[in-house]
Amino acid sequence: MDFLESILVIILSFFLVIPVVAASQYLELKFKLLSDIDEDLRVEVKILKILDQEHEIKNMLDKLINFLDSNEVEWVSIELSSEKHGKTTINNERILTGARGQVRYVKVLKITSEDVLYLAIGIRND
Amino acid sequence: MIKTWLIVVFVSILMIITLLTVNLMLLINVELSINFLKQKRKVIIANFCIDDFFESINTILDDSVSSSRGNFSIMKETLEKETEKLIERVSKTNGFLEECGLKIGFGKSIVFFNNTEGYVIQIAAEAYAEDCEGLFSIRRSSNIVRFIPQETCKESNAAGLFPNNSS
Repeated sequence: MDFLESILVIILSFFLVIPVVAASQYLELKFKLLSDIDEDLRVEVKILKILDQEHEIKNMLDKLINFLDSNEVEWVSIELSSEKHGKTTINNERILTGARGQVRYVKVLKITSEDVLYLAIGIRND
Repeated sequence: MIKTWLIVVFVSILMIITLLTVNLMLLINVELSINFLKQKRKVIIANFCIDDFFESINTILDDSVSSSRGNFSIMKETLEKETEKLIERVSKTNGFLEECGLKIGFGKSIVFFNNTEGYVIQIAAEAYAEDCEGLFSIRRSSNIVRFIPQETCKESNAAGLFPNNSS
């Protein structure tokens, strides 16, 4: 009888632990999402400030890359497009996304009296 | 007499319920924080866009005044043409803004009038931003005014272009 009781307790515990493990894993995913959104927001605000300060495309890109590198943002690509200057894409060779690697994008917009600038920064999603 | 395994089962169930409750509370907090950050992001984008729009109108007005060199008909024509172009350009950003979960409308009205000391150009710029989920809306307006003294006017018929509003 003792043996049967032990088996019953083990089986019951097993079924009770499953929802806790599942909930914890889901929570971990949500925390990761929260930290990504927080990081993206910080990057976005800083980018908008850089776009406000710099009007030359080259200086703008230099400052952006400098900011991303100094803040250890794992950026994969920078895509800048406007009616006046066309499209410029810069790929970061140092960051490898791999076959299954996912990329999330931080997108910002800058309106000036002469042009509208669209900027999309691809960040590696681990 | 209570069996030992029954106590173990009872305590296990109690612990699991506690853990699940804690997880659920954390999950609710994380969801709320995620939603808060998403809304904050939208507000930041909308505010930057509206600031840019007002700033652009300001620049266009300055450029029109300086490039006309006292010729008011040229200034008026340039100003109206450039502001129309700006409105057209910003309206093309709708697709991008909708991707961000925002709808922004831009508008402007230009008023020219003169008084005893000179000529006044007043641009009333307005922008209305709305969250696609209907959680918030922002309405902002800006009055951009430039005064041009009469002596800088080179055009003899400038007064005719500006309705009198000396009161």
